[in-house]
Amino acid sequence: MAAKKTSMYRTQRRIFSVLYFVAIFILLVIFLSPFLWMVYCSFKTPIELSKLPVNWLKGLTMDNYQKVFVQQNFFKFIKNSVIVAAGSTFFGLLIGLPASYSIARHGQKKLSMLILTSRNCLESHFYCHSTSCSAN
Amino acid sequence: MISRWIDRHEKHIFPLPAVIFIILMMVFPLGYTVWNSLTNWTLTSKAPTEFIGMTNYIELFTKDERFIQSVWRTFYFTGGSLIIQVTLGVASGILIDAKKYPGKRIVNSILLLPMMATPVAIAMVWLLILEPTTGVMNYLLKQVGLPISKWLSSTSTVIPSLILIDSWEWTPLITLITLAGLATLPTDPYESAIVDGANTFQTIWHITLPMLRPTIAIGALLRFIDCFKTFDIIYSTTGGGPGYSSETLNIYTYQNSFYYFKFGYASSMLVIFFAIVLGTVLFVTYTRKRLEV
Repeated sequence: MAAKKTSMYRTQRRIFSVLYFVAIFILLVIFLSPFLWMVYCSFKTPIELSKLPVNWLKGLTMDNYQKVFVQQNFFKFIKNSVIVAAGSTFFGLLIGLPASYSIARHGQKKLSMLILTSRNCLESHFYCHSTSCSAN
Repeated sequence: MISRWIDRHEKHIFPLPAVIFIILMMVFPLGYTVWNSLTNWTLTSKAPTEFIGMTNYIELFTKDERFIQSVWRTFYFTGGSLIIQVTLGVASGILIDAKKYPGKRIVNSILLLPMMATPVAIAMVWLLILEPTTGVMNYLLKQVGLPISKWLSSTSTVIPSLILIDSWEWTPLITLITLAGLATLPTDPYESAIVDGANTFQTIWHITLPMLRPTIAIGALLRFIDCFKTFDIIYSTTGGGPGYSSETLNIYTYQNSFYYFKFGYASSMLVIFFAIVLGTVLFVTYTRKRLEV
């Protein structure tokens, strides 16, 4: 009787575990497939791209990459992005680190609320402001 | 001497640069926007910019059908995205946390990928996938025998499609926040639940979810603000179209300032936009405090 119960329990657990990995797998497919599709499409010629059903091995090419790096001067865009990212991280840390140290050390809750809310309000106004600047 | 002075006033000196920066970067643009919203500043007109009081606001609410539509659309988009993202995000967070297995870290980082990708790139991929005639999505749906859709090219399905894209990109954020929240939960309630003979679903419903409530609330609030402001995905997939059918507040403001050059008018929209976001944030923070204390 007891043995039967434990074996039932074991099968139940096994079913659960199978269901669990099926669920994880579905999640993976949902979140990963558009990326894989993007990578795959990057190797295809424009004409072959719009053909359905997909012919997996036909029309594969490296032309797109060649175009991006040779004709479009993509390195310059990468350089620009790196400069913007590094610069904003540097200044963000420079200004933010002392403030966060002080908030943690002295428990300045109101200050941290101020910073958080301003971060949320800032963005939309930034872009209005840049509008005005570019207009001038 | 100076270092001792700094030591003593550390509390005020350290946050000073941040506070100055915030005041400069918030108070000035905000004030300037509010001021602009009260003028008729338009680049395409020769008339001098004048102070016109509340005229812009009155026009927005009484005459501008497009504006009112865009407000509702923004709420529709935000509401839909929030419901889907919070439900799926919390569910997948609990699911991921439930079991340990080899390779879990790799799986977790794959699940968080969409959040880290560039929004414009994501928009391009989904544009390809959801294209009604040549896209894979409709092809797959046809193969399985499900009804196909026009996705981004029809006025009735464009917002749901955008909700789909936004949820794909941002559900992982809620998952991440949920995982962080789960890691801080105490273990003793679970032990007593096992002793009491609660099953998995009872444990999740009566223990995990109530204890996660503050975490979920913060995640939902963050997503609300960002959904409300969504610009990149909508602009790079539909640009507000077809017609005006996916024009949210942010897109309409952008059109007004960069296509019609009505800076005064656009500013008054931004002020309303800001008021809605701030109002919601204050309301949620206030009710949360009252409910939990």
